Amino acid sequence: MFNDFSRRSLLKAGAAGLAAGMMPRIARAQSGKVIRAVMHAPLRATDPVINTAWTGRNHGLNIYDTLFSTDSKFQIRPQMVDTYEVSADKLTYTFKLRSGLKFHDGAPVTSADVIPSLQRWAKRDTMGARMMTFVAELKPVDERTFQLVLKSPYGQVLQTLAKPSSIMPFIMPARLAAQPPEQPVTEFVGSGPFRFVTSEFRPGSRAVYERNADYVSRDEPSDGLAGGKIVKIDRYEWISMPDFQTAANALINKEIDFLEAAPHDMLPSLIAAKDVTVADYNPLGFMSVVRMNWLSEPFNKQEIRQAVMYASDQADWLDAQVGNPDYYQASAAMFGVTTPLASEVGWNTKPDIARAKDLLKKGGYKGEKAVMLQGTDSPLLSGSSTVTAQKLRAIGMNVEVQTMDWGSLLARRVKQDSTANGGWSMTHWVTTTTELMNPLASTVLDTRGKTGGFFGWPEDTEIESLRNKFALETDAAAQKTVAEAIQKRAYDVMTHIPGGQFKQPVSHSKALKNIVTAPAPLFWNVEKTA
Amino acid sequence: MSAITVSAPTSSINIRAFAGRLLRNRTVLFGLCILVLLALISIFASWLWTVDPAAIKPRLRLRPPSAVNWLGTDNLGRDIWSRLVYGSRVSLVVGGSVAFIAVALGSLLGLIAGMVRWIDNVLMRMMDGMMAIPAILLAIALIGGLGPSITTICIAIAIPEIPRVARMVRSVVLTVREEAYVEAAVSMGTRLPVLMARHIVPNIMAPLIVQATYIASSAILIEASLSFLGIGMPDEIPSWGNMMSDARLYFQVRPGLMLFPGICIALTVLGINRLGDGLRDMLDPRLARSVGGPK
Amino acid sequence: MAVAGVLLKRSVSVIPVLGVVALIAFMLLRFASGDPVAQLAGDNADPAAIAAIRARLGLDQPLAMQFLNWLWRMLHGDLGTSIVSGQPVTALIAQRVGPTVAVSITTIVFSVVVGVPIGVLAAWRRGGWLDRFAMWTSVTGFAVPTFAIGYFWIYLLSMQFGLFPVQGYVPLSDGLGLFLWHLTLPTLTLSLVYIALIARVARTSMLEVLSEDFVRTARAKGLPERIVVFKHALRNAAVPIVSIVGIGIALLIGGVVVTESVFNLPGLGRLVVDSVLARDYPVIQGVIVVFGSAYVAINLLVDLSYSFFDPRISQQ
Repeated sequence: MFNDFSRRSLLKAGAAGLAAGMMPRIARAQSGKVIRAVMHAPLRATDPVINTAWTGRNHGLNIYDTLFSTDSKFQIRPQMVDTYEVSADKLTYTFKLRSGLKFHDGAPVTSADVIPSLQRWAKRDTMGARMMTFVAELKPVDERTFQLVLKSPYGQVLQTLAKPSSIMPFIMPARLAAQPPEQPVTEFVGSGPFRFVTSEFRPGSRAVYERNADYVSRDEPSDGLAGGKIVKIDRYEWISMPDFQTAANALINKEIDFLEAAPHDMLPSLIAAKDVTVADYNPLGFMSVVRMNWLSEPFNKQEIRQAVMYASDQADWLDAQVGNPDYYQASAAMFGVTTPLASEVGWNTKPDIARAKDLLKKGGYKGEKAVMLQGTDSPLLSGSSTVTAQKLRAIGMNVEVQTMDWGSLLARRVKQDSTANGGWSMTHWVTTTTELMNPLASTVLDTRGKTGGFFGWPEDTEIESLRNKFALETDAAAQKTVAEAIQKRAYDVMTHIPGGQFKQPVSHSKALKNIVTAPAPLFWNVEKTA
Repeated sequence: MSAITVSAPTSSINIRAFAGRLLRNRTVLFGLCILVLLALISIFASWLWTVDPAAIKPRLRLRPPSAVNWLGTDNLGRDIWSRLVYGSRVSLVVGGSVAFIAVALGSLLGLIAGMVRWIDNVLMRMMDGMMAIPAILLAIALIGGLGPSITTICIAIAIPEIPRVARMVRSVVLTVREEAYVEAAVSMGTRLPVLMARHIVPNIMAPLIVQATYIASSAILIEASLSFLGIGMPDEIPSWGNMMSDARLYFQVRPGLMLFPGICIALTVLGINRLGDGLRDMLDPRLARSVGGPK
Repeated sequence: MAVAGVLLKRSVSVIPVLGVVALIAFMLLRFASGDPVAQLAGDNADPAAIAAIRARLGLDQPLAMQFLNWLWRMLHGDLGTSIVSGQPVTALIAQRVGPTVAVSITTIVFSVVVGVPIGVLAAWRRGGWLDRFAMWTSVTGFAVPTFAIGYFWIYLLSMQFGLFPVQGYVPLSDGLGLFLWHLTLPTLTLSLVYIALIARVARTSMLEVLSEDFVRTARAKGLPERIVVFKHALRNAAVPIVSIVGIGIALLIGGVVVTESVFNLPGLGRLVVDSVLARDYPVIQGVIVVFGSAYVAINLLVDLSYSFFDPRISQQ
């Protein structure tokens, strides 16, 4: 269409003259080093303890700090904690904070801040709540020392305090931690490596962080979420862009420096762009999950849930979501393909249509309507839903696909009503492998049913008792055996169907160096040249 | 400023002569040709598509045109040609039903307002209020509330159009009422239904048809915009709007994915608009003045 | 009637309209299927927590009470608090109003500056190449979805020629050049339809005026054609042109919503789409009221401006 080069260059020259008049300079004069980043979603809700979205966690990682962190090899390492000891009976943990830790308002971080922060967080987080059922007391010893006293030994104390998934135990000043956990904090004061610039916060559009000059970093190098957090830029702007194409163009045009989640089909053009690097800093990647509603027909029957699995083909989902096999891997592993608890037991990820139809018959399926909620915001959500709907129709199921934006889907999936009364039957979901790698933190394996469980509300006492066993187990090999048993049982009762694992490379300007490899986009340690 | 003329009370439309005039008008002919073609395509859609438009083959995604997939495949391996063909039905349904809902409800409200004085004031204030809210915002909010399906989308696009139709019909009714021959008829005891059938309906038809064409074409465009904003037609129903919107991600790899439905939308809207313009000029040259809708 | 009287009468007539806007804005999402509170409470919330949030937001009161409360506070300049971000709605709107107003003004100015001369010239040389070109451009302008036009400009002028930024907004305080440079593509995108509309109206009303007696008289007096067309005829053709600018505001705002998404302008249109998606009632209500009031105010101004362009109207 635009191949007429002579006319094109002529036009270009003319238009350039026109534009030059009003164009001061492409690079805006900015004092200091600024990283402009477009994330997978804008920051709206800001309390990381209330919001399960990754955006809330990523926001929290900038401005708050945690007692412990998980490094790139899944080892637990102290972060705000300087030293700690566990009593011989494994009931008393004594933690001592590093000296010199300060909140952004200048106040020192003390035991009196840590304890209410942990208490508030544990009311919202499932892993925290589970730990608290073992905790007899959380008490301050002095300004920088505090104790966690257990009723009976619990193997997951440090894992819980270092949990890398959503709703991390961030430490806030006592006055903010005193807020009820239903009420979001409206003041953003932490002790993390960045300060939040409240005056420039535009919910849904822009969030700005600046270097916290008073941050006392650990001496070790950055490693995953652990280690030193030395900020080498002055400012980091989290910009929202509703349109992927616009964001990719903006990166190629050097208007932004970092694009967290370009759709995989756009990666070839980004790789080809001169000043753009496409690289993966989150080796654990992402997993997709099919969740069915145990409370309503037709998926209140185990056989019918299993029929869905045998009708499915992970490769088809992944093709629809990602497309390029370089970035995905079919796998039955519920705890991630490359994580310590990885196991392929339970499913070969391939369809078995005869078995699916047979199971449907065994489950007494009589054409009850399955309502599928389809999120439209991202190809990661919409493509695979359409695939599933077709597969289920092919085995004779009655499927109604209801499309909606992600916000509506979130509001809809918490409804426990029958499908006739606005409830739902199944939905696709994508999450980071980090969220699923631990059987206690993994919300999809919460099988407490209707009362405490995660949307879908599976109920199974056997999985719950296996999870308790896992929690008390301290030996890694024994933990792995229990995890395998959990996975096997989960496939039997069908808590969810794993949809395979995929990578989401980050695209960024070549000027950015030393980005930390971690299950979240981090902007400490990053350098910006020129 | 009333831009609506009132034709003579005895005007009986000579259908054959009118049809002849229609076909001699190049603008109308152009629009009609496109619409007839579109209607034929959508009626005979099942003979025209080569592959089931809903069939998914993720492994054959984003393929270039071939003997099987004449225009290639989309991101889920669905056949683009078949989806375009099927999409013509969706576009016609959206355009047609939005125009119908808006015109039917709008005329009803306009008639009531024009006939019954005390309702007039309340109703017109309601209409003014609705018109003050931009159509697309109203549609977005309605779909946000009702959830997107082909029915809710048609309703959500139609509702904001109602006030414009109602206002126009009302102004025609008010003008007609004041004509001497109508006043005479009323004073002679002509009953309301007769009055309407004899004097008001013939006067409203022309502007209504013209208005309906504009509503239909803008409905097709709004449907596309809604898809773009992420609250459009469900993915399973291939509409040109959601095909275009989906294609944004693959624009660099397969520009055709965006181009083909785009051309279809543009041609259809063009056809409907030309038809409307032509009809307007023919039916009532003076209407041409109020091109942007009645003030 | 005196000008002040007209002003007063027209202004008062606007009040019930604003009331209706408020009512519609309030009712729109009350029938929605999604529950903002459940979404806000998060995945792990228990029913008690949900009830607590509901009470805190006043969503447990009867609808009529909620409406009256909201109206009362609105009259005091308080549009409530965003459910999602916890910020006052007035603050959110104040943050976002700049880009929307900016792109609307540049679009109107650009469209009038381009559209009126095209329409006038097309009418003056009726049936000539400019007339035909203008007609086909306007017909096409009406037929292409706004976002496709936006992509076209980005592809051509930003990605191929590298002349303009593909996205973003820079406030006027950072410099006029930078401000306009970022607004160029959004303006080009939005104004296509608007230019088409204005050119069409300008053309038809000019045609009418040009055939009137006083124009013939002016020509007969030997006045230069330029003056006949642009001074005498245009002034008399101005009323429909001005009125279309008023009517077009609604169309413009519709386009702004889409354009803000394409060019990532952090404006009100994007705010309202995001809020609908997040079921953030107070923000949706607030923005709709603001848009509605703006529309009413602009049309009031347009109404009043008639008396400037056409003294006969004010004597009605």
